[in-house]
Amino acid sequence: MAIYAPGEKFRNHRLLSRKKGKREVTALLSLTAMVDMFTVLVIFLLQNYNTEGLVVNIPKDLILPKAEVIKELKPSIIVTVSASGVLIDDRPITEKVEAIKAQKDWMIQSLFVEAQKSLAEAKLKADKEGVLKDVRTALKPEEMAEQQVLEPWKKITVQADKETDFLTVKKILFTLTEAGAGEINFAVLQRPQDKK
Amino acid sequence: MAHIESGGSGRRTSLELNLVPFIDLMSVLITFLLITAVWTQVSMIQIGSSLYSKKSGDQSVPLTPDMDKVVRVDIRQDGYFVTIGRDQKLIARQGEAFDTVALKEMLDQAKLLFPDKLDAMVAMDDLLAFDHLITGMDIMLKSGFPKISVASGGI
Repeated sequence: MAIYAPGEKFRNHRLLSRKKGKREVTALLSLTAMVDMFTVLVIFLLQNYNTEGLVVNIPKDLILPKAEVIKELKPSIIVTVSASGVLIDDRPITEKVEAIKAQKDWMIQSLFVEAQKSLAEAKLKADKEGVLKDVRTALKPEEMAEQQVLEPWKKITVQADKETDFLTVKKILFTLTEAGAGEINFAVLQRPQDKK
Repeated sequence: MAHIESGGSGRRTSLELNLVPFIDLMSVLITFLLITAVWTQVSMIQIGSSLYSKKSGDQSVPLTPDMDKVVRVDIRQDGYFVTIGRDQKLIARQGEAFDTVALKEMLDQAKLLFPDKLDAMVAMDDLLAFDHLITGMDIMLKSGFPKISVASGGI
C-alpha cells in the first residue's frame, strides 16, 4: 500500500500527478504477507471453532486428570472437588475438604441437601422442556417407559482435582447417590492418543 | 492497496485492488474467533455402571456377555493387582510410577480370552490420588471394557 504524504491527492502518482519539477517519493508497504497471515489464522480458528460442548467453570486451583478414551461432556449437574472446597453447580457447601476426609461417616450432610435441591431443579427444568415431547410420545407407551428409565436430569459430572484422595471422592459419590443421582461421570481433559 | 502498473513507453494502465475492506473483515473475524475460542476442552470419562447406585426393588442389573468371568483391577499402594478369571497377578509399582504398559498388555490378553465381555471392575486404595483411578479406567476403556464399575468397598 502506498503511503502518501498529506496534501493533494494523487500528487505522487505517476499517472495522475501533474508534472512538477520536484523529486517524486513513493513509499510502498507490502500487504501481501499480512493478508496471507490473516487468511491462515482465520482458517485455523474456523477449523477449531467448536459449536457444541458445554462450558464449565474450572477453579484456578483445580487440575483435572487426563484420559485418552473420552466422551463429550453433556449438560448435567456439576460437582467440583478441589483443595479450596466442594461446589455443586458453583454453590459452595459448608464442609471443607479436610473435614470431609477426616469424618468417619460417609454422608456429607450439606452436599446431600444441595444435591437434592439441584436434582429437584433439574427435574423441574426437564419436565418443563419435556412437555411437548411428552405430548408427542403420549400415544407411544414404550417410548415413554424408556424415557422414564433413562432420566437424563439425574446425570452428575464430578470434576475432581487429580490429587484428591480417593476416600474423599468415594464419600462424595456415596452422598450424591443417596441424594438420588443417576449416571455419574468424571470430568477429564483429553490426552492425545498414542500413535500405534 | 494492491497496485499493478504497466510501465514502458506505451500507454500506461493502473489496476488497483482495494484491500482495506478485506483486511477490516479479516480483523473483525479474527477478533471474534479468538474471543469465542475454547482453549481447554473438558470431556468426561463414563462409568458404565456404578456400585454406588441405590438398589431399589424394581431396578434390575443390566446383563452383559460373560458377566460371570471376572476382570478386576485393584489399584494398590504396591501396584496393580489384576484378576482375570481365576488368575491373579500383581504388577509391581516401579518407583513412584505405576506400570501402565504391563496393565494394558494384561487387559488386552483378558480381552482376547473373553472377547464378548464388556464389564470390568476397578477398586482403589483410599489414600491414593484420584488421578490413578482415571488412569486405570482409561486403560480398561482402551482395552475394550466400556462398562466399568467402581468398587466402593475398598481393597
